[in-house]
Amino acid sequence: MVMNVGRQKLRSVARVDDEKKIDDDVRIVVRSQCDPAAFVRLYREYYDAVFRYCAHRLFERTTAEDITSEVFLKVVKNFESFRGNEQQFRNWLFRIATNAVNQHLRKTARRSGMLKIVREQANDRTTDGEASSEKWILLRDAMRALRPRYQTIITLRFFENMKLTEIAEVLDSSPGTVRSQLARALVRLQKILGPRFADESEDIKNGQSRKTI
Amino acid sequence: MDKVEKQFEDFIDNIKLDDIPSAEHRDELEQDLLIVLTKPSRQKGQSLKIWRLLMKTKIAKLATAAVIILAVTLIIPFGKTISPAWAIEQSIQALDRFKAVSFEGWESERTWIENGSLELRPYKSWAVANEDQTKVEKYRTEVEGYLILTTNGQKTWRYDPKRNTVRIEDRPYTAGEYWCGSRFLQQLKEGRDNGLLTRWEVTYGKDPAKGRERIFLKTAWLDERYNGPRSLRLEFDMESKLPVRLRQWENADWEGPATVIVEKITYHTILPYELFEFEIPEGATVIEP
Repeated sequence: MVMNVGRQKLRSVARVDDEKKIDDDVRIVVRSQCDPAAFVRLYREYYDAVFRYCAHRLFERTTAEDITSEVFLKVVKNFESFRGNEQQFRNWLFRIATNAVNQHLRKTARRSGMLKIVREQANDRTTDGEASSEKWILLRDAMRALRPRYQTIITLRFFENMKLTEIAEVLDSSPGTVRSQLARALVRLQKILGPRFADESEDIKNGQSRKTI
Repeated sequence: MDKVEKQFEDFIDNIKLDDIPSAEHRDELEQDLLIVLTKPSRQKGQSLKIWRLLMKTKIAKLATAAVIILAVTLIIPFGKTISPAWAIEQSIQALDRFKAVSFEGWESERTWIENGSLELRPYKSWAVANEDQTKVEKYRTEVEGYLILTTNGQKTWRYDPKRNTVRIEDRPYTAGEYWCGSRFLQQLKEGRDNGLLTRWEVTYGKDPAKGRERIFLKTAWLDERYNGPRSLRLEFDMESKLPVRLRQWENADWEGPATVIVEKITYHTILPYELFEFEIPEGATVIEP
């Protein structure tokens, strides 16, 4: 009995703490909506994550920076209408970033497909010409061969280390759907990357060192 | 985590991606965001009331706001001394990275002389280059109490706060103006190399306010084809190599009051498009061609 009361108390304390945290999170967001300095703090907290996400989707630093700028400008523009706590803000941020990246990829593909390919090939040759760039290029090309939604899921899952539930929130979907899409994306990657995909694991299992690229 | 997931994780495990955020970009973007946060939305109708573009207004030639004045004058040849620590090429390269810039300062023109004194007026200007950085695509400038002039690349608004009139034209006002950016410095360099600049002095020092290392370039020319005589003092930040301040005199000796004073030059990755639109003030008379 005593134990039960104790647990109940603990649970209620935990619930109060959770609620307090959610309230605090909401307050941070609300304050940021009317106080530029508070917004800047929020911006500083999320800049790196957004940039990294863009860089992992685009494989190109300058474009990633441009898209990151675009994302935050959109955030600022629409921030007044946003309602939610910090976690929801983060999801919203990634949703905007995802849309911006997808839009950029569509535009690039439409506009200067050939030119870009030629330029990238030239860059590829000059990166450092060794196994390093080879694996990087493989990954980039394999990712680009995926549907944008699959690219998003792979990036959020493996580069941003998000849980399926978090990805589902960003994509406004269910964890189950995300799981099956993730599986499909991986099968597709497996096909594109061919033997290289499994080789790495084999090397690790056999205790061989991997090349750093 | 299933086997395939593990395999993919292993595959990407040691790939070196260029994903380290740059502090420089983070800071620039922060500045841009602050502009958006504090200006267009919050002070709409206040700060946006005091702009103007150069080139065509009466005030025209009105020290053709740093950007453009420089553009005109800089086709000039110049000077001599080169510092071992800083070379203008470094700044040319640094400037190449930016397509958007803003200026704040003071400017004057002969026609503004009132009561026998040279009147200096505070101004702010924003400019965005076109894709290949050859022309100014979007431009906005304001001279307090005198004019707001802005163009978004298709349309131009010219607001006269004294008469409370807005002239709207369906054309890009600055279409003919070229982006001075790194080309400006390139022209200075060429001027120096051609010997058209009469002076070229580089000194080093510190910004008294922030204590940052600075490079000071003083240069002058006489050639009337380039609005000479003129003298110029440019201040570069040692770390970024970017020009941060500028003054120009209508003589070749940096004498008397400067007619163009740019107190602050800020570089942007992007500037909000709203900045180059104009919201017509209540009660203003709209004049359309």
